[in-house]
Amino acid sequence: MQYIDPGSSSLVWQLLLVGLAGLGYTLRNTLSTLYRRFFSKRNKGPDEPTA
Amino acid sequence: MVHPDGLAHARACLESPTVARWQAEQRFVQTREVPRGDWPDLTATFAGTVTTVLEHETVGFPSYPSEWSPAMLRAAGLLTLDLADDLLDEHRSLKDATPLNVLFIGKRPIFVDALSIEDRDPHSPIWLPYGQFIRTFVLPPIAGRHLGWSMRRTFTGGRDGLTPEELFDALGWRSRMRSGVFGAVTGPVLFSRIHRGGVFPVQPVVDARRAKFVLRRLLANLRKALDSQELAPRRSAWTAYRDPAVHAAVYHAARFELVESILRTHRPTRLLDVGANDGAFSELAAATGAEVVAIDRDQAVVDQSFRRQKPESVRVLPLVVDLADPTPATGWRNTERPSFLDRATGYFDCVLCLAVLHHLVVGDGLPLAAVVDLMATLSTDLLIAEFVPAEDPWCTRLAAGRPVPPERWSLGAFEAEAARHFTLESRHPVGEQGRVVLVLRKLATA
Repeated sequence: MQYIDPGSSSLVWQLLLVGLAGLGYTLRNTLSTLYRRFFSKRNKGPDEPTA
Repeated sequence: MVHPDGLAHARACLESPTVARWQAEQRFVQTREVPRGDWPDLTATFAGTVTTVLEHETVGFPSYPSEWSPAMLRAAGLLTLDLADDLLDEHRSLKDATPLNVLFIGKRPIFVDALSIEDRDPHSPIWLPYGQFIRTFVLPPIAGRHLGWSMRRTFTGGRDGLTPEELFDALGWRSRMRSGVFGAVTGPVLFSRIHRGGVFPVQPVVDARRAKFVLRRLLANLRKALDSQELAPRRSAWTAYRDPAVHAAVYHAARFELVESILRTHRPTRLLDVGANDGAFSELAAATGAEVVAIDRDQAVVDQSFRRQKPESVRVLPLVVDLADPTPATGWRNTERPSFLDRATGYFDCVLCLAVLHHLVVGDGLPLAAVVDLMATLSTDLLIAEFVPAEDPWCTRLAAGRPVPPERWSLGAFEAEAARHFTLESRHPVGEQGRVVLVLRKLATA
């Protein structure tokens, strides 16, 4: 764990933005994964086995 | 000369593919490591503490943020963000983000702090210079826009710009809630009040791609903060100087043709354009081959000059400088950033001052002899001056009802003072109100 003494309000604000950006990254990847799974299931015919 | 503490940064700079590419694009100062056998004698003074010596290209006339217009500060900020972004892919970053890392060659900003490059922990999503970038690149234009604070006021008072707390206290609530202001001022101040100081735990990011994604978003956010302050050029009393209501178009045309002829005859190498306004004559001088520094005391016209320059006229550097109160020396022991006069003395072989000297003598009340002495200090060869007589309406306005005796300001008095330092090469009437352009050459010193 890294501990930072921000020393300035801008750096404190940055830490908030870092958290939000990280959440955005997770959300983007999750949606991307879900989309790929949904798309691959739709492309398989009804008789094809699904993983 | 590089101290042991800076050796890692020097290596990061010299080995960086991004820096090499930027040097080829002329956006980063050319830097080479000097072989030990070629080190200057000065290293004897620092024997044992110098690990390497770096040599850089000479960038020309150095300038500082207190002399820049808002558009120039923005250009320097975008350059800094572009470099920080490009360095991410090779696990490097900038250790600081200040306008003092950037100089201008004409209109083109160039990054000059070679020791600012450092290796980056690929798992860290934090950009430590973020706060400094906000204070020095984002907040000064906000202060200019909402409070009328000039760049000179901001950066002469302190090299580290403005804090969010300073602006928060100075702005009203309506301004605090504007979109460009909230993210840089109001949000940080209110959020830090909740935090109330102390350390912050930051979880290292296992996925290096995630850390890079977060950093790229931060840099994009800063770019957006700069863009939100991009304004249409401000107007001032001097931005309409070429308006026919101010001076007849025929006067401007005649003066332009005359000065062009003079410059093409004499072809100066380095020219200082005093009272340059929108830079039209500066660009004329640059077209004849001169490197030009164009100064004016009005920030709005300097901003206008910087914005209007064509990319190819890179040899004109517009700066906000008032010759009656020029930029002082600042920094540690007043030696880090020399004064404008120290930088300018001996640098220019020609000084161009069209319809300016009466502002200094009549408007600012400076002695004519002292003003002529200053011109002689600034120029090593030529002085091209447009004399505006006391009867001229614009000179009368400067006098503000007070009499202007001939010994204080007249063509005869000016030529008499100039004769102490210059010989008169030619005299050219221009316009219809007794204005005269004089070409003077410096007397050879014994």
